[in-house]
Amino acid sequence: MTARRYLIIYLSAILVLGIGVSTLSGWGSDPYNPRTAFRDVKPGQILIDNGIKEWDRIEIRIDKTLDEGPPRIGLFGSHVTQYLSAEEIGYSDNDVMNYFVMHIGLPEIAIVLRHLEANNALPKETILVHLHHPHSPNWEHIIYGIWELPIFYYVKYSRRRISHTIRDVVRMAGARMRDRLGLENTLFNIIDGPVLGCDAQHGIMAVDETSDVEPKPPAVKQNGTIRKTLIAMGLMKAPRRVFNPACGPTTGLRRDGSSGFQRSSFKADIVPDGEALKPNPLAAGSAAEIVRQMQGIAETGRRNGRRVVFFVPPIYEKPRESDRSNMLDMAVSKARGEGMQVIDHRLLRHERELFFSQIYTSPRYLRRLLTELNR
Amino acid sequence: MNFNTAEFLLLFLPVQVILFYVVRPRFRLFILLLGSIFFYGMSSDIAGFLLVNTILWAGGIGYISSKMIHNSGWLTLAIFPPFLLLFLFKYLDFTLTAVDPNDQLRSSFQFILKYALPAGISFYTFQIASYLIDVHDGKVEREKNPLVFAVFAAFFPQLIAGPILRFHELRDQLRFIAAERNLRPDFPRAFKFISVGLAYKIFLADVLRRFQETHDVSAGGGSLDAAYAVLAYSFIIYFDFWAYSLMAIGLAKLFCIELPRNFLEPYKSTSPREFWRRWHVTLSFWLRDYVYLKIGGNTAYIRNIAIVFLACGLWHGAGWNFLIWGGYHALLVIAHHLAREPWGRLPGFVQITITFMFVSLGWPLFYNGIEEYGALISVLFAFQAPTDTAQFGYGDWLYLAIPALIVFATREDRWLFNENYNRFLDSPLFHAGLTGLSLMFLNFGRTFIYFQF
Repeated sequence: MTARRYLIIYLSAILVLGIGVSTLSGWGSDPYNPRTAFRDVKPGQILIDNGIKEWDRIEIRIDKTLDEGPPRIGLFGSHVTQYLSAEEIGYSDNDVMNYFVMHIGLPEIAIVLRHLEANNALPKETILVHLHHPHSPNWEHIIYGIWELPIFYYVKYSRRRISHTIRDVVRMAGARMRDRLGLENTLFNIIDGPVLGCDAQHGIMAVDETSDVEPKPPAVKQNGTIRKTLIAMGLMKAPRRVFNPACGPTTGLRRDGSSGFQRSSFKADIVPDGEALKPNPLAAGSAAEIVRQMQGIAETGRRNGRRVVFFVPPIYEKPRESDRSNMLDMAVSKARGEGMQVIDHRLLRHERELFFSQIYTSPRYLRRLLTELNR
Repeated sequence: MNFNTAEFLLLFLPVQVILFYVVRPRFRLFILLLGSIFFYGMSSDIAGFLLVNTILWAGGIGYISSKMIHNSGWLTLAIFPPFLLLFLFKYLDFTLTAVDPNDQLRSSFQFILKYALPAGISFYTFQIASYLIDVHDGKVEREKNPLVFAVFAAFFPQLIAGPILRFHELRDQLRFIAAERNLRPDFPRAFKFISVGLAYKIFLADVLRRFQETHDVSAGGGSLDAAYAVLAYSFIIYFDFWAYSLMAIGLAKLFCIELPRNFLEPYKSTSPREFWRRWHVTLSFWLRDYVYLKIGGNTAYIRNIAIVFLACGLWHGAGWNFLIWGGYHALLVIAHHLAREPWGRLPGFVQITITFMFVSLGWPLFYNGIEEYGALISVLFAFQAPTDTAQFGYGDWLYLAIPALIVFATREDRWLFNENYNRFLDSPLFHAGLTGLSLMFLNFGRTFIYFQF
């Protein structure tokens, strides 16, 4: 076979595969406009986030802020803060809005704040900024970007050297392509629906109707075409109402921006004694970088007359010494020395009622945080 | 930028290849250089800055000092800055930990310590040093075309994890592509190596790593679990590094450049000495030519072997575990040297098995500190049952059998580097399928292990 012929066949096959996978990946997703739908969410309800990408999830909430005006307090953090629901502790979304993004850290929180600043939509009083717990699995994201924001945020607001912006855009484009072609969005997109009968749902749902452990409702009643056909032909038994991990929980955004669903399967198992931490992924000297990035955010607040408070949520664990902790200790102490306000809650690690699980704190923790904020 | 990322495979590479073939021949090297610096600069500004400056220094000093190049003082001056940068960015932290346990000096060096290790700094430093030493020794002429030298030092397929090239291996090829109007790239082999390398990385190295790190053997594992962990490390590191090298060979072929094979089925070696002639071949030969022979070679075999392997250990990483790993391999090679006669009487498969076992016992040091390594090895040799049930089940062992079969039951000359066309294994549809499947699994991919070196 000649090199030219080989090249043509190879590239054509890749193209066909790419288009096929990309089509399957997009199949069934976003059948409606989630941004418009989010405005109709009422307290006690969620906008189901099936098929909504991370960069859209933040835009949905920011769009609402731009339309309806900013809240009194804005909470900016990673997925660890996603269940900090103001609604659950009696506040409204006008009081506290949660702008969590899955793996966000300081550099991208700064970008989101600049976007809000440019649109006169910064929280009216207080900007609450999550600092990653040094023992959390995403600790290194505290100073590194994760490219989960809308692409124009980086181009417009990253305020970094051009080389950084180019790097961000290239990596983000890569992340988008990986996401589009990835197994999760293709194979699972097919088998979740027709094969397993999970029937991805969209739109608004009451939190009480959600479930994190079962197909919703039992698979046989759904549109699982292949499964239903096999059952009708007597080739397959009707499944019992059992946990179907492939379906996953129905999760979504509450009106206050937090993530809501029934959390019956969440457990808060304390870290066993002596569980080793992986070596600190951050280079020595990163404490200074943490403080530098905190300064940038504090400056945004100062410029606009807003109070900026950094907080480190606790992890449900037994005491553990680590280089990581020492690094954050250094950063916190230096930041306080420079006049920044930091609430360090690492020592709340024993208070079981503050946790849903080892890393996820509950709205009770938010109450605690807000109480401390008002002191 | 990693080879196993969407931005590399679907953005950077197509643009680079297209630009390379649409410009006039004399601009091709410029395109390659620009692309290589962009590729490397994607990791960080400081990494790009160091690379560019090292190239400027080495190329410049070779270019301007024609009469002094055979002077040993010139050589010291020429190689000092690249090795100083290597020391500062790779070994300073380790050195401070060793000599300054109370961290009194550390704060003075924060301005350097705050930077992460620039990827592949060991590779390009060695490559550039080999050029300077060869020029000094009169083995190659100093390069007068700065583009040829710069592309030699920064050629992106091999920049970060090798193979470590000698100048004479690339010089004529670079001059050829800058002059030849009608290039004839070997696309079939190029895409074959890229697709197989990508699949090796994603489906063997990365998946196996996921299985392997599911359990902490020292916490309740039995000896069989420890054996699994050790064997898994062996195949993970081989398929990780070989995948990178294979992709590098394929990528270079897209630009009509031939790179040497860095791995010659090393796990089929019949002795530790042979292993090092088949594993990371270009590093072994670099150490032989520029360290071993320079310090006397066979005149003091045991001492020089010890020095070379300790250097090899340190080259791989700044840590006691790497130093011990290098010392361990020195011991293996020296022990084989001393017992080569009785060793030679053993059947071939016994030699291969023993060599593989001993080499495998060393690999966990690449991933673990000395204490963790000690815990793993003590579980392995305690010949004990697990505290409850075995950590690694049938599925894990079955998956481990796949790389084992590829390594021991196939011959790469027959299916990967074969001369005769195989309708299935050389088919573009097969390679496209393999590439497509790998692209779907990119989310599970990890950084190449050798990026940290």
